[in-house]
Amino acid sequence: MSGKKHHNTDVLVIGAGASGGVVARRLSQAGFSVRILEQGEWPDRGAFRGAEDDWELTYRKQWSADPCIRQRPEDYPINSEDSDITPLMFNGVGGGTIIYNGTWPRMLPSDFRTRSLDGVGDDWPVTYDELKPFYDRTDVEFGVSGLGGDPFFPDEIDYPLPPLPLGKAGRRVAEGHNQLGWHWWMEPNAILSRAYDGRRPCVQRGTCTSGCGEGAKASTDLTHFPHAIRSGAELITGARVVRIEHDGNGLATGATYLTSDGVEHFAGANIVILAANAIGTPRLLLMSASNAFPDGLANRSGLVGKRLMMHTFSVVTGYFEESLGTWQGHFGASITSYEFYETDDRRGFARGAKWALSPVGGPLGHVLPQRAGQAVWGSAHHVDMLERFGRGASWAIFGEDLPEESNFVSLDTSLTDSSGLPAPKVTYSLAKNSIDLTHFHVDRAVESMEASGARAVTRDVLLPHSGWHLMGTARMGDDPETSVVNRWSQSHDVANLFIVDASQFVTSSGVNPTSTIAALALRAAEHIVTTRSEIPVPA
Amino acid sequence: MNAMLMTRLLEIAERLVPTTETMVGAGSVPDAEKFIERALASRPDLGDGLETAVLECNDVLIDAAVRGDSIDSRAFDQVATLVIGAYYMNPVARRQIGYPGQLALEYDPMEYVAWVDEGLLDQVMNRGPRYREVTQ
Repeated sequence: MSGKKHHNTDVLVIGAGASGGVVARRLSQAGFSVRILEQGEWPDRGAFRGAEDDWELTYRKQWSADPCIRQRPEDYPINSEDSDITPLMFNGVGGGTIIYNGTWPRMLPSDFRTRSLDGVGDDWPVTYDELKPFYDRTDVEFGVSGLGGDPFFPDEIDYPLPPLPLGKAGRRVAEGHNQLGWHWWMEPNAILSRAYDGRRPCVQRGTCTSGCGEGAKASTDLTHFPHAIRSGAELITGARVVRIEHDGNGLATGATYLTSDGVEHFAGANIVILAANAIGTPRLLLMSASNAFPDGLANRSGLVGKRLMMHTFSVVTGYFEESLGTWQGHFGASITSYEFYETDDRRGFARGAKWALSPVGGPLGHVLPQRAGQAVWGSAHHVDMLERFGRGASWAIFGEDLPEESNFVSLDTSLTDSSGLPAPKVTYSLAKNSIDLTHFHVDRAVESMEASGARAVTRDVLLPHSGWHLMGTARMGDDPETSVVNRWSQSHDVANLFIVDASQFVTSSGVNPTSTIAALALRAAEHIVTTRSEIPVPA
Repeated sequence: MNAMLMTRLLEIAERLVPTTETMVGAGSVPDAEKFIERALASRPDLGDGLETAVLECNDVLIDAAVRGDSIDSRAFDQVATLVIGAYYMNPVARRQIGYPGQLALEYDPMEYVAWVDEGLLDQVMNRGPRYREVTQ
């Protein structure tokens, strides 16, 4: 069956998540005609369960971050049988920002130079200084709460909003770090500490990762797509892209997509922008193989899908005598520590990890741990609950994952989505460096909790259900032989194709990636605006 | 739900979280049946194959769980999630552990000024710049 053949637009954006929102807003406001295709729907904010008593139950199914558990019609399955970490994501307007925790750190200057500094990974073709103006602008667009002056950054970051509350747990651990002489600082979060841009402030409900009912946590269904639509952009939901099309000159001409009724449509454009995350983007490029591009679109380097990075994730929880009420609080993080972030050759591994102090969730999360801990049944159950529930504070430890071509996304040969399109298969093994790094950091985090006065400390190391941060599968670089996109996020092979999600990351850093995703996307959009006349378009 | 199935669910619930001198257990908490039905309404998937899952959760398996053994059983996960999810939706169970639910709280977004003035960050600031110099 054949469906609509839309009129051409200047720009077609595939994916309505963080990066898609940033480019759609900027380009539509700059006067480009913009169409966005999103396989999911607008989130029904009335369906968020954070204020309801079944929040924790629904968090494990309907609001799971794992598409293979959630199993919404718009989700696609991922074969992760051969992966040490399960990839997590959300499909819908807002993408992963609907269920991320809103933590908003920037990458540090050294993160862009790991090869030069430490002899591992690769240097980025951009620097922190080049990206800084875009970080500053996206902080304003998303509404970031934070405190400038962190000595781990070379510049005083001027956050648009004051920091979110320190909280009892944050104070305890901050004091512990002061005793140790270790770094801590207020974690920046894309969560409003007061009303901003028509959105309400955070109420510390602690349910950020199953949708923010207050709209305090920045998600691009609130912060970007309404702006883009007001500027004339067209957002088509329920549109599952089958492949990116190209002409005889090797230029992208648009995308063929399916609606839920199985009808195929075509959306043409002069510029195509992929913003479908570091699994969805290589999947689409590989699905777009043709006679001219037999190994997948934009894949002359052979690196499409390769170098998948997912941060290692571990949790160290300290339990204190007094109740800290840590089922509440932004989730998000209150404080962070970069004390052991940088390489120290004496440790026997390269690079490091960032720590983020987080709430610990409600009673069901305590009894039936999803991410950390051990269930306690029988007569010991009540004792355990009374001794620990609400008295814990967790260091969430994200370790840098260095790129390896042996970690990759490919097309599964049998598993398909509900439209019959090949599902992605993830092949991923933790490297020894990641494992060594993690154990070192977990040991230090235990010392942190003990110094902070915890009477018991638990450690949950290298948790497998933790692939929130997907990066690296269409890397940026100056050399077309060793990278997929150039320093402006533009395909080396298909000059009117841009990739603006975390696929383009060269290395993973050890920080949550969304702030950098947004900054890079805005930088790419700005480049498109300023070089519009130089970008070749199909005839 | 048939009465036999509910009875067995409550038995399992009480074994997993038993009544003590001061705490009411998951099988005997007031309105336990009502909250199991509510939990099923919130999570219809937990009702899929529930009778079979309950049968698989025999006394041997429950004994092992209570002993603290690691349980690798989808049936156990399904049943435990249902009965304990229902239990901690119940206001009686919540009151016992001092849990009021996830509330909307008020705070002063400028509270940080006081603890900065108090000197909480002084140690961090006094160490000076910590960022790694990078040649751009």
